[in-house]
Amino acid sequence: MSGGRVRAGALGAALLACGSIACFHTTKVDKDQDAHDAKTQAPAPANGTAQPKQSEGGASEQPKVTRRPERPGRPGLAAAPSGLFVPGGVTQVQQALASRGYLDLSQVEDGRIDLPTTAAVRRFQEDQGLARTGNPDHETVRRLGIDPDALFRKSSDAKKRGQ
Amino acid sequence: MDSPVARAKHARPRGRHQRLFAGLLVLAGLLVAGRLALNPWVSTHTRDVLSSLKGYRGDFDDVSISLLHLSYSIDGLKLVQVPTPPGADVKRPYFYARHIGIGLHLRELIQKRELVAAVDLEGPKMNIIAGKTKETSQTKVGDPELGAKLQRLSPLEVQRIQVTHAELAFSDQTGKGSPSLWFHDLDGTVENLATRRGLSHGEPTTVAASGTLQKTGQVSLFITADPLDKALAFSGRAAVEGLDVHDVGNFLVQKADLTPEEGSIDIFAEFDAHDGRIAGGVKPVLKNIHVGSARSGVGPQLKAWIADAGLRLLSDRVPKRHAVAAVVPFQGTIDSPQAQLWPTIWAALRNAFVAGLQSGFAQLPPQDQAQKQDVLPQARRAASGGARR
Repeated sequence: MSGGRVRAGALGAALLACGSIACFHTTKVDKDQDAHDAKTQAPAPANGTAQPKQSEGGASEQPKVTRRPERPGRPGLAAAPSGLFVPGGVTQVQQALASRGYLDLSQVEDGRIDLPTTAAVRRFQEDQGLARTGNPDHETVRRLGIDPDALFRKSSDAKKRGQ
Repeated sequence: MDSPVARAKHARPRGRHQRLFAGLLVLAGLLVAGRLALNPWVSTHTRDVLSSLKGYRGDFDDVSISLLHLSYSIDGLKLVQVPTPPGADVKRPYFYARHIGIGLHLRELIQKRELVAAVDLEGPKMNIIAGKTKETSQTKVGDPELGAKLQRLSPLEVQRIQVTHAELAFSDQTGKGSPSLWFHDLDGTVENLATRRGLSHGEPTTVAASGTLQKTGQVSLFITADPLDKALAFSGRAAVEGLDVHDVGNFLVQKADLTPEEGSIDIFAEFDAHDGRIAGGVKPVLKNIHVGSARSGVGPQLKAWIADAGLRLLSDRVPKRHAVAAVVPFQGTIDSPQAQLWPTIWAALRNAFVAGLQSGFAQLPPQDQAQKQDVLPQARRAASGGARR
Protein backbone atom coordinates (compact mmCIF):
# COMPACT_ATOMS: atom_id res chain seq x y z
CA MET A 1 0.00 0.00 0.00
CA SER A 2 2.70 2.45 1.10
CA GLY A 3 4.82 1.30 -1.90
CA GLY A 4 1.94 2.26 -4.15
CA ARG A 5 1.77 5.70 -2.52
CA VAL A 6 5.49 6.16 -3.04
CA ARG A 7 5.18 5.19 -6.70
CA ALA A 8 2.21 7.48 -7.15
CA GLY A 9 4.14 10.32 -5.47
CA ALA A 10 7.15 9.73 -7.70
CA LEU A 11 4.90 9.71 -10.74
CA GLY A 12 3.27 12.96 -9.60
CA ALA A 13 6.64 14.59 -9.06
CA ALA A 14 7.77 13.44 -12.47
CA LEU A 15 4.63 14.85 -14.06
CA LEU A 16 5.11 18.17 -12.25
CA ALA A 17 8.70 18.31 -13.48
CA CYS A 18 7.53 17.48 -16.98
CA GLY A 19 4.87 20.16 -16.76
CA SER A 20 7.37 22.78 -15.62
CA ILE A 21 9.67 21.81 -18.48
CA ALA A 22 6.74 22.16 -20.82
CA CYS A 23 5.95 25.67 -19.51
CA PHE A 24 9.58 26.69 -19.88
CA HIS A 25 9.68 25.41 -23.41
CA THR A 26 6.44 26.91 -24.58
CA THR A 27 7.26 30.34 -23.13
CA LYS A 28 10.65 30.39 -24.79
CA VAL A 29 9.46 29.39 -28.24
CA ASP A 30 6.12 31.14 -28.25
CA LYS A 31 6.96 33.52 -31.07
CA ASP A 32 8.44 30.82 -33.28
CA GLN A 33 5.55 28.52 -32.55
CA ASP A 34 2.99 31.16 -33.44
CA ALA A 35 4.75 31.84 -36.73
CA HIS A 36 4.84 28.12 -37.37
CA ASP A 37 1.15 27.81 -36.53
CA ALA A 38 0.25 30.57 -38.94
CA LYS A 39 2.09 28.71 -41.67
CA THR A 40 0.85 25.23 -41.05
CA GLN A 41 -2.76 26.24 -40.47
CA ALA A 42 -2.98 27.85 -43.89
CA PRO A 43 -4.84 25.75 -46.44
CA ALA A 44 -2.51 23.68 -48.54
CA PRO A 45 -2.51 24.61 -52.23
CA ALA A 46 -3.68 22.04 -54.70
CA ASN A 47 -1.20 22.81 -57.45
CA GLY A 48 1.56 24.68 -55.70
CA THR A 49 0.73 28.04 -57.25
CA ALA A 50 -1.82 29.43 -54.80
CA GLN A 51 0.34 29.33 -51.73
CA PRO A 52 0.01 32.01 -49.10
CA LYS A 53 2.80 34.50 -48.67
CA GLN A 54 5.50 32.92 -46.59
CA SER A 55 8.92 33.84 -45.43
CA GLU A 56 12.12 32.63 -47.04
CA GLY A 57 12.34 28.87 -47.33
CA GLY A 58 10.48 28.43 -44.07
CA ALA A 59 12.61 31.10 -42.39
CA SER A 60 10.05 31.52 -39.63
CA GLU A 61 11.04 28.02 -38.54
CA GLN A 62 14.74 28.63 -38.54
CA PRO A 63 16.61 29.30 -35.32
CA LYS A 64 18.16 32.73 -35.63
CA VAL A 65 21.92 33.14 -35.68
CA THR A 66 23.76 36.40 -35.21
CA ARG A 67 26.13 36.92 -38.09
CA ARG A 68 29.24 39.02 -38.28
CA PRO A 69 29.54 42.08 -40.51
CA GLU A 70 31.35 41.66 -43.80
CA ARG A 71 35.12 41.88 -43.51
CA PRO A 72 37.27 43.65 -46.11
CA GLY A 73 38.72 41.33 -48.70
CA ARG A 74 36.48 38.45 -47.69
CA PRO A 75 33.30 37.41 -49.42
CA GLY A 76 30.11 37.98 -47.47
CA LEU A 77 28.56 34.79 -46.17
CA ALA A 78 24.83 34.28 -45.84
CA ALA A 79 22.64 31.65 -44.20
CA ALA A 80 19.86 32.18 -46.74
CA PRO A 81 19.97 32.50 -50.56
CA SER A 82 18.58 36.05 -50.66
CA GLY A 83 21.57 37.24 -48.61
CA LEU A 84 23.78 36.72 -51.66
CA PHE A 85 21.89 39.09 -53.94
CA VAL A 86 22.32 42.81 -54.49
CA PRO A 87 19.29 44.93 -53.51
CA GLY A 88 16.56 44.28 -56.05
CA GLY A 89 18.27 41.13 -57.28
CA VAL A 90 15.67 38.72 -55.98
CA THR A 91 12.91 40.80 -57.59
CA GLN A 92 14.70 40.51 -60.94
CA VAL A 93 14.78 36.73 -60.57
CA GLN A 94 11.10 36.65 -59.64
CA GLN A 95 10.19 38.80 -62.63
CA ALA A 96 12.21 36.60 -64.98
CA LEU A 97 10.46 33.52 -63.62
CA ALA A 98 7.08 35.22 -63.97
CA SER A 99 7.78 36.27 -67.56
CA ARG A 100 8.38 32.61 -68.38
CA GLY A 101 5.18 31.49 -66.70
CA TYR A 102 6.81 29.81 -63.72
CA LEU A 103 5.65 32.21 -61.04
CA ASP A 104 2.58 34.26 -60.15
CA LEU A 105 3.94 37.55 -58.82
CA SER A 106 0.80 38.25 -56.81
CA GLN A 107 1.56 35.20 -54.68
CA VAL A 108 5.12 36.08 -53.69
CA GLU A 109 6.77 38.35 -51.22
CA ASP A 110 8.78 40.92 -53.15
CA GLY A 111 12.51 40.60 -52.57
CA ARG A 112 12.29 37.36 -50.59
CA ILE A 113 13.05 33.89 -51.84
CA ASP A 114 9.89 32.44 -50.34
CA LEU A 115 8.36 29.00 -50.86
CA PRO A 116 6.51 29.83 -54.13
CA THR A 117 9.73 31.32 -55.56
CA THR A 118 11.73 28.27 -54.49
CA ALA A 119 9.15 25.96 -56.08
CA ALA A 120 9.20 28.02 -59.29
CA VAL A 121 13.01 27.94 -59.41
CA ARG A 122 12.90 24.17 -58.93
CA ARG A 123 10.45 23.72 -61.82
CA PHE A 124 12.57 25.96 -64.05
CA GLN A 125 15.72 24.02 -63.14
CA GLU A 126 14.00 20.72 -63.92
CA ASP A 127 12.90 21.99 -67.34
CA GLN A 128 16.43 23.20 -68.03
CA GLY A 129 18.06 19.91 -67.02
CA LEU A 130 19.76 21.54 -64.04
CA ALA A 131 20.04 20.19 -60.50
CA ARG A 132 16.68 20.82 -58.80
CA THR A 133 17.83 22.59 -55.66
CA GLY A 134 15.34 25.46 -55.63
CA ASN A 135 18.26 27.84 -55.12
CA PRO A 136 18.65 30.50 -57.82
CA ASP A 137 22.36 29.89 -58.41
CA HIS A 138 24.62 31.44 -61.06
CA GLU A 139 23.77 28.96 -63.81
CA THR A 140 20.04 29.20 -63.15
CA VAL A 141 20.18 32.97 -63.21
CA ARG A 142 22.22 32.88 -66.43
CA ARG A 143 19.59 30.68 -68.06
CA LEU A 144 16.94 33.14 -66.94
CA GLY A 145 18.72 35.68 -69.10
CA ILE A 146 20.23 37.72 -66.26
CA ASP A 147 23.94 38.49 -65.89
CA PRO A 148 25.01 36.88 -62.59
CA ASP A 149 27.85 39.39 -62.15
CA ALA A 150 25.27 42.15 -61.82
CA LEU A 151 23.03 40.17 -59.52
CA PHE A 152 25.23 38.69 -56.80
CA ARG A 153 26.98 40.69 -54.09
CA LYS A 154 30.76 40.88 -54.28
CA SER A 155 33.40 41.79 -51.73
CA SER A 156 34.59 45.38 -51.81
CA ASP A 157 38.04 44.27 -53.05
CA ALA A 158 36.53 42.41 -55.99
CA LYS A 159 34.44 45.47 -56.84
CA LYS A 160 37.60 47.59 -56.92
CA ARG A 161 39.28 45.07 -59.19
CA GLY A 162 36.24 45.19 -61.44
CA GLN A 163 35.48 41.49 -61.13
CA MET B 1 35.34 33.24 -124.35
CA ASP B 2 37.17 34.05 -121.12
CA SER B 3 40.73 35.15 -121.20
CA PRO B 4 43.31 33.15 -119.13
CA VAL B 5 43.44 36.04 -116.62
CA ALA B 6 39.68 35.95 -116.12
CA ARG B 7 39.77 32.17 -115.70
CA ALA B 8 42.49 32.51 -113.08
CA LYS B 9 40.35 35.10 -111.23
CA HIS B 10 37.44 32.65 -111.07
CA ALA B 11 39.66 29.74 -110.13
CA ARG B 12 41.30 31.51 -107.16
CA PRO B 13 38.27 31.44 -104.83
CA ARG B 14 37.53 27.85 -105.78
CA GLY B 15 41.07 26.92 -104.89
CA ARG B 16 40.82 28.78 -101.60
CA HIS B 17 37.65 26.91 -100.70
CA GLN B 18 39.27 23.63 -101.56
CA ARG B 19 42.28 24.41 -99.39
CA LEU B 20 40.01 25.46 -96.50
CA PHE B 21 37.97 22.28 -96.87
CA ALA B 22 41.12 20.19 -96.96
CA GLY B 23 42.43 21.96 -93.88
CA LEU B 24 39.23 21.32 -91.98
CA LEU B 25 39.27 17.71 -93.08
CA VAL B 26 42.82 17.30 -91.81
CA LEU B 27 41.90 18.98 -88.51
CA ALA B 28 38.85 16.75 -88.08
CA GLY B 29 40.98 13.73 -88.93
CA LEU B 30 43.58 14.78 -86.39
CA LEU B 31 40.91 15.26 -83.71
CA VAL B 32 39.38 11.86 -84.43
CA ALA B 33 42.81 10.21 -84.55
CA GLY B 34 43.85 12.05 -81.39
CA ARG B 35 40.71 10.95 -79.63
CA LEU B 36 41.12 7.36 -80.77
CA ALA B 37 44.72 7.36 -79.63
CA LEU B 38 44.12 9.25 -76.42
CA ASN B 39 41.19 7.23 -75.13
CA PRO B 40 43.20 4.03 -74.55
CA TRP B 41 45.96 6.08 -72.93
CA VAL B 42 43.47 7.86 -70.66
CA SER B 43 41.83 4.56 -69.84
CA THR B 44 45.17 3.05 -68.79
CA HIS B 45 46.09 6.14 -66.80
CA THR B 46 42.70 6.11 -65.01
CA ARG B 47 43.20 2.44 -64.06
CA ASP B 48 46.66 3.30 -62.69
CA VAL B 49 45.21 6.10 -60.53
CA LEU B 50 42.41 3.88 -59.23
CA SER B 51 44.77 1.04 -58.41
CA SER B 52 46.98 3.40 -56.43
CA LEU B 53 44.14 4.26 -54.02
CA LYS B 54 44.87 2.91 -50.57
CA GLY B 55 42.14 0.77 -49.05
CA TYR B 56 39.89 0.88 -52.08
CA ARG B 57 39.58 -0.97 -55.36
CA GLY B 58 38.29 1.00 -58.30
CA ASP B 59 36.71 0.01 -61.57
CA PHE B 60 34.83 1.73 -64.40
CA ASP B 61 32.92 0.92 -67.58
CA ASP B 62 34.29 3.53 -69.95
CA VAL B 63 36.35 6.70 -70.11
CA SER B 64 36.64 9.19 -72.93
CA ILE B 65 38.33 12.46 -73.59
CA SER B 66 37.36 15.23 -75.97
CA LEU B 67 39.99 17.67 -77.21
CA LEU B 68 37.34 19.77 -78.88
CA HIS B 69 35.40 20.34 -75.66
CA LEU B 70 38.41 19.99 -73.33
CA SER B 71 36.48 17.43 -71.37
CA TYR B 72 37.02 14.10 -69.66
CA SER B 73 34.23 11.71 -68.76
CA ILE B 74 34.07 8.43 -66.93
CA ASP B 75 31.09 6.09 -66.84
CA GLY B 76 30.22 3.45 -64.26
CA LEU B 77 32.92 4.39 -61.77
CA LYS B 78 32.87 2.09 -58.74
CA LEU B 79 34.98 2.15 -55.60
CA VAL B 80 34.85 -0.79 -53.22
CA GLN B 81 36.55 -0.88 -49.85
CA VAL B 82 39.16 -3.62 -49.45
CA PRO B 83 39.07 -5.60 -47.35
CA THR B 84 35.28 -5.38 -46.91
CA PRO B 85 34.42 -4.25 -43.38
CA PRO B 86 33.05 -7.06 -41.19
CA GLY B 87 29.29 -6.93 -41.18
CA ALA B 88 29.14 -4.77 -44.28
CA ASP B 89 27.31 -5.87 -47.39
CA VAL B 90 29.95 -6.69 -49.97
CA LYS B 91 27.53 -5.74 -52.73
CA ARG B 92 27.42 -2.14 -51.54
CA PRO B 93 30.36 -0.18 -52.95
CA TYR B 94 31.58 2.85 -51.11
CA PHE B 95 31.00 4.99 -54.18
CA TYR B 96 29.37 4.51 -57.56
CA ALA B 97 28.62 7.05 -60.28
CA ARG B 98 26.72 6.43 -63.49
CA HIS B 99 28.54 9.31 -65.20
CA ILE B 100 31.10 11.91 -64.24
CA GLY B 101 32.06 14.64 -66.68
CA ILE B 102 34.78 17.21 -66.14
CA GLY B 103 35.28 20.07 -68.58
CA LEU B 104 37.44 23.17 -68.90
CA HIS B 105 36.16 26.49 -70.19
CA LEU B 106 38.08 27.28 -73.37
CA ARG B 107 37.32 31.01 -73.35
CA GLU B 108 38.74 31.59 -69.87
CA LEU B 109 41.76 29.45 -70.75
CA ILE B 110 42.57 31.48 -73.87
CA GLN B 111 41.54 34.98 -72.78
CA LYS B 112 42.49 34.98 -69.09
CA ARG B 113 44.81 31.96 -68.99
CA GLU B 114 42.83 30.60 -66.07
CA LEU B 115 41.80 27.02 -65.46
CA VAL B 116 38.04 27.19 -64.97
CA ALA B 117 36.36 23.83 -64.68
CA ALA B 118 32.86 22.41 -64.39
CA VAL B 119 31.99 18.98 -63.04
CA ASP B 120 28.83 16.99 -63.66
CA LEU B 121 27.93 13.92 -61.59
CA GLU B 122 24.94 11.83 -62.64
CA GLY B 123 23.48 9.16 -60.40
CA PRO B 124 26.23 8.96 -57.78
CA LYS B 125 25.65 6.61 -54.85
CA MET B 126 27.60 6.62 -51.62
CA ASN B 127 27.47 4.13 -48.76
CA ILE B 128 28.91 5.32 -45.46
CA ILE B 129 29.25 2.87 -42.60
CA ALA B 130 30.15 4.07 -39.12
CA GLY B 131 31.64 1.04 -37.43
CA LYS B 132 32.89 0.50 -33.91
CA THR B 133 36.49 0.66 -35.09
CA LYS B 134 38.29 2.28 -37.97
CA GLU B 135 38.66 -1.11 -39.64
CA THR B 136 34.92 -1.74 -39.60
CA SER B 137 34.05 1.69 -40.96
CA GLN B 138 33.59 2.69 -44.55
CA THR B 139 33.93 6.41 -44.42
CA LYS B 140 36.35 8.12 -46.70
CA VAL B 141 38.63 7.59 -49.63
CA GLY B 142 41.73 9.27 -50.97
CA ASP B 143 44.01 11.79 -49.45
CA PRO B 144 42.60 13.88 -46.57
CA GLU B 145 45.06 16.62 -47.53
CA LEU B 146 43.88 16.60 -51.13
CA GLY B 147 42.15 19.97 -50.84
CA ALA B 148 45.22 21.66 -49.38
CA LYS B 149 47.46 20.07 -52.01
CA LEU B 150 45.19 21.20 -54.82
CA GLN B 151 45.24 24.70 -53.42
CA ARG B 152 49.03 24.73 -53.53
CA LEU B 153 49.16 23.14 -56.96
CA SER B 154 47.69 25.57 -59.44
CA PRO B 155 45.29 28.47 -59.82
CA LEU B 156 42.03 26.68 -60.47
CA GLU B 157 38.42 27.67 -60.27
CA VAL B 158 35.72 25.03 -60.22
CA GLN B 159 32.88 27.16 -61.44
CA ARG B 160 30.19 24.59 -60.85
CA ILE B 161 29.77 21.04 -59.60
CA GLN B 162 26.36 19.66 -60.40
CA VAL B 163 25.03 16.47 -58.86
CA THR B 164 21.78 14.89 -60.01
CA HIS B 165 19.80 11.86 -58.79
CA ALA B 166 22.27 11.10 -56.02
CA GLU B 167 21.88 8.62 -53.17
CA LEU B 168 23.59 8.60 -49.80
CA ALA B 169 23.17 5.73 -47.34
CA PHE B 170 24.48 6.07 -43.81
CA SER B 171 24.59 3.07 -41.51
CA ASP B 172 25.48 3.50 -37.85
CA GLN B 173 26.86 0.23 -36.52
CA THR B 174 28.38 1.73 -33.39
CA GLY B 175 25.42 0.81 -31.19
CA LYS B 176 22.42 -1.41 -31.02
CA GLY B 177 19.94 -1.79 -33.87
CA SER B 178 22.32 -0.54 -36.59
CA PRO B 179 20.00 2.26 -37.69
CA SER B 180 20.43 3.57 -41.20
CA LEU B 181 19.54 6.76 -43.01
CA TRP B 182 18.88 6.87 -46.73
CA PHE B 183 18.97 10.11 -48.68
CA HIS B 184 17.82 9.74 -52.28
CA ASP B 185 16.63 11.72 -55.28
CA LEU B 186 19.24 14.24 -54.20
CA ASP B 187 20.17 17.11 -56.47
CA GLY B 188 22.90 19.50 -55.48
CA THR B 189 25.30 22.16 -56.66
CA VAL B 190 28.58 23.63 -55.51
CA GLU B 191 29.50 26.92 -57.14
CA ASN B 192 32.57 29.12 -57.09
CA LEU B 193 35.20 26.85 -55.59
CA ALA B 194 38.56 28.55 -56.17
CA THR B 195 42.13 27.92 -55.10
CA ARG B 196 43.09 31.60 -55.22
CA ARG B 197 41.35 34.63 -53.74
CA GLY B 198 41.58 36.42 -57.10
CA LEU B 199 39.64 33.66 -58.82
CA SER B 200 36.72 33.68 -56.42
CA HIS B 201 35.22 36.90 -57.87
CA GLY B 202 34.64 38.24 -54.35
CA GLU B 203 31.86 35.73 -53.79
CA PRO B 204 31.65 32.80 -51.38
CA THR B 205 31.48 29.14 -52.30
CA THR B 206 27.84 28.15 -52.34
CA VAL B 207 26.39 24.71 -51.69
CA ALA B 208 22.71 23.94 -52.26
CA ALA B 209 20.90 20.63 -52.21
CA SER B 210 17.46 19.13 -51.95
CA GLY B 211 16.15 15.59 -51.83
CA THR B 212 14.31 12.99 -49.80
CA LEU B 213 15.26 11.36 -46.50
CA GLN B 214 13.93 7.79 -46.02
CA LYS B 215 10.46 7.62 -47.61
CA THR B 216 8.91 10.87 -46.46
CA GLY B 217 11.34 13.59 -45.31
CA GLN B 218 11.96 16.52 -47.65
CA VAL B 219 15.53 17.71 -47.20
CA SER B 220 16.89 21.12 -48.15
CA LEU B 221 20.33 22.55 -47.56
CA PHE B 222 22.00 25.89 -48.22
CA ILE B 223 25.56 26.73 -47.19
CA THR B 224 27.95 29.54 -48.02
CA ALA B 225 31.60 29.11 -47.14
CA ASP B 226 34.96 30.77 -47.59
CA PRO B 227 37.39 27.89 -48.15
CA LEU B 228 40.31 30.33 -48.44
CA ASP B 229 39.84 31.74 -44.95
CA LYS B 230 42.50 30.43 -42.55
CA ALA B 231 39.91 30.05 -39.80
CA LEU B 232 36.84 28.04 -40.71
CA ALA B 233 34.18 30.34 -42.13
CA PHE B 234 30.77 29.08 -43.16
CA SER B 235 27.13 29.90 -42.69
CA GLY B 236 23.97 28.11 -43.65
CA ARG B 237 20.81 26.28 -42.86
CA ALA B 238 19.31 22.83 -43.31
CA ALA B 239 15.84 21.45 -42.95
CA VAL B 240 14.08 18.09 -42.93
CA GLU B 241 10.30 18.40 -43.22
CA GLY B 242 7.46 15.90 -42.98
CA LEU B 243 9.60 12.99 -41.84
CA ASP B 244 7.36 10.13 -40.67
CA VAL B 245 8.62 8.89 -37.31
CA HIS B 246 8.43 5.28 -38.49
CA ASP B 247 11.14 6.16 -41.01
CA VAL B 248 13.59 6.85 -38.19
CA GLY B 249 12.33 4.24 -35.74
CA ASN B 250 15.63 2.40 -35.34
CA PHE B 251 17.47 5.68 -34.99
CA LEU B 252 15.19 6.80 -32.15
CA VAL B 253 15.47 3.47 -30.39
CA GLN B 254 19.23 3.85 -30.36
CA LYS B 255 19.40 7.55 -29.51
CA ALA B 256 16.41 8.05 -27.21
CA ASP B 257 15.33 4.52 -26.20
CA LEU B 258 11.84 5.28 -27.48
CA THR B 259 9.69 3.62 -30.11
CA PRO B 260 7.65 6.06 -32.16
CA GLU B 261 4.08 4.94 -32.73
CA GLU B 262 2.76 7.73 -34.93
CA GLY B 263 3.44 11.29 -36.07
CA SER B 264 5.97 13.23 -38.09
CA ILE B 265 8.91 15.48 -37.38
CA ASP B 266 10.45 18.59 -38.93
CA ILE B 267 14.00 19.60 -38.04
CA PHE B 268 15.38 23.05 -38.82
CA ALA B 269 18.99 23.99 -38.20
CA GLU B 270 20.93 27.19 -38.76
CA PHE B 271 24.60 27.76 -38.07
CA ASP B 272 27.41 30.24 -38.55
CA ALA B 273 31.14 29.75 -38.03
CA HIS B 274 33.86 32.37 -38.13
CA ASP B 275 37.14 33.15 -36.37
CA GLY B 276 37.21 29.72 -34.77
CA ARG B 277 33.75 30.03 -33.25
CA ILE B 278 30.56 28.28 -34.28
CA ALA B 279 27.05 29.13 -33.15
CA GLY B 280 23.65 27.97 -34.18
CA GLY B 281 20.46 26.31 -33.21
CA VAL B 282 18.37 23.26 -33.96
CA LYS B 283 14.62 23.33 -33.85
CA PRO B 284 12.76 20.03 -33.98
CA VAL B 285 9.01 20.34 -34.55
CA LEU B 286 7.10 17.21 -33.56
CA LYS B 287 3.61 16.76 -35.00
CA ASN B 288 0.92 14.35 -33.75
CA ILE B 289 3.58 12.33 -31.99
CA HIS B 290 2.97 9.32 -29.78
CA VAL B 291 5.83 7.26 -28.45
CA GLY B 292 6.27 3.99 -26.58
CA SER B 293 9.18 2.35 -24.83
CA ALA B 294 11.77 0.48 -26.83
CA ARG B 295 12.40 -1.86 -23.89
CA SER B 296 10.27 -3.69 -21.41
CA GLY B 297 10.51 -3.00 -17.69
CA VAL B 298 9.18 -0.37 -15.33
CA GLY B 299 11.93 2.21 -15.87
CA PRO B 300 11.82 2.38 -19.68
CA GLN B 301 8.01 2.19 -19.69
CA LEU B 302 7.82 5.08 -17.21
CA LYS B 303 10.25 7.10 -19.33
CA ALA B 304 8.14 6.49 -22.43
CA TRP B 305 4.95 7.32 -20.57
CA ILE B 306 6.40 10.59 -19.27
CA ALA B 307 7.69 11.49 -22.72
CA ASP B 308 4.30 10.76 -24.25
CA ALA B 309 2.52 12.71 -21.50
CA GLY B 310 4.94 15.59 -22.04
CA LEU B 311 4.17 15.59 -25.73
CA ARG B 312 0.45 15.71 -24.98
CA LEU B 313 0.88 18.55 -22.50
CA LEU B 314 2.80 20.54 -25.05
CA SER B 315 0.73 19.77 -28.07
CA ASP B 316 -2.76 20.89 -27.20
CA ARG B 317 -2.35 24.49 -28.35
CA VAL B 318 -3.81 24.02 -31.79
CA PRO B 319 -6.99 22.00 -32.25
CA LYS B 320 -6.64 19.02 -34.60
CA ARG B 321 -2.91 19.51 -34.83
CA HIS B 322 -0.46 18.49 -32.20
CA ALA B 323 2.89 20.14 -32.66
CA VAL B 324 5.82 20.65 -30.33
CA ALA B 325 8.74 22.96 -30.97
CA ALA B 326 11.79 24.02 -29.01
CA VAL B 327 15.07 25.61 -30.05
CA VAL B 328 18.21 23.82 -28.93
CA PRO B 329 21.04 26.32 -29.21
CA PHE B 330 24.65 25.31 -29.62
CA GLN B 331 27.90 27.20 -29.63
CA GLY B 332 31.57 26.49 -29.22
CA THR B 333 35.06 26.90 -30.58
CA ILE B 334 36.98 25.18 -33.34
CA ASP B 335 40.56 25.75 -32.33
CA SER B 336 42.17 22.69 -33.88
CA PRO B 337 44.59 23.73 -36.61
CA GLN B 338 43.82 20.43 -38.34
CA ALA B 339 40.13 21.21 -38.64
CA GLN B 340 38.99 21.11 -42.24
CA LEU B 341 36.08 22.98 -43.69
CA TRP B 342 33.92 20.35 -45.37
CA PRO B 343 34.28 17.60 -42.72
CA THR B 344 33.41 20.18 -40.06
CA ILE B 345 30.28 21.24 -41.95
CA TRP B 346 29.29 17.60 -42.44
CA ALA B 347 29.86 16.89 -38.74
CA ALA B 348 27.89 19.97 -37.69
CA LEU B 349 24.96 18.95 -39.92
CA ARG B 350 25.01 15.37 -38.72
CA ASN B 351 25.18 16.38 -35.08
CA ALA B 352 22.44 18.96 -35.55
CA PHE B 353 20.19 16.28 -37.00
CA VAL B 354 20.95 13.83 -34.19
CA ALA B 355 20.55 16.55 -31.54
CA GLY B 356 17.26 17.59 -33.12
CA LEU B 357 15.88 14.07 -33.06
CA GLN B 358 17.22 13.24 -29.64
CA SER B 359 16.26 16.41 -27.81
CA GLY B 360 12.94 16.62 -29.59
CA PHE B 361 11.87 13.19 -28.45
CA ALA B 362 13.46 13.26 -25.05
CA GLN B 363 11.64 16.58 -24.41
CA LEU B 364 14.67 18.05 -22.74
CA PRO B 365 14.91 21.68 -21.70
CA PRO B 366 17.48 23.86 -23.50
CA GLN B 367 20.79 22.33 -22.66
CA ASP B 368 23.15 23.80 -20.10
CA GLN B 369 26.56 25.09 -21.06
CA ALA B 370 28.36 21.79 -20.73
CA GLN B 371 25.83 20.01 -22.90
CA LYS B 372 25.65 22.80 -25.48
CA GLN B 373 29.28 22.32 -26.23
CA ASP B 374 28.79 18.64 -26.75
CA VAL B 375 27.97 19.11 -30.42
CA LEU B 376 31.11 21.05 -31.20
CA PRO B 377 33.72 18.83 -29.62
CA GLN B 378 32.22 16.05 -31.73
CA ALA B 379 32.49 18.25 -34.80
CA ARG B 380 36.09 19.06 -33.93
CA ARG B 381 36.96 15.41 -33.46
CA ALA B 382 35.31 14.51 -36.74
CA ALA B 383 37.05 17.38 -38.49
CA SER B 384 40.46 16.38 -37.25
CA GLY B 385 39.85 12.79 -38.30
CA GLY B 386 39.78 11.50 -34.77
CA ALA B 387 36.12 10.64 -34.66
CA ARG B 388 34.37 7.58 -35.92
CA ARG B 389 32.11 8.50 -38.79
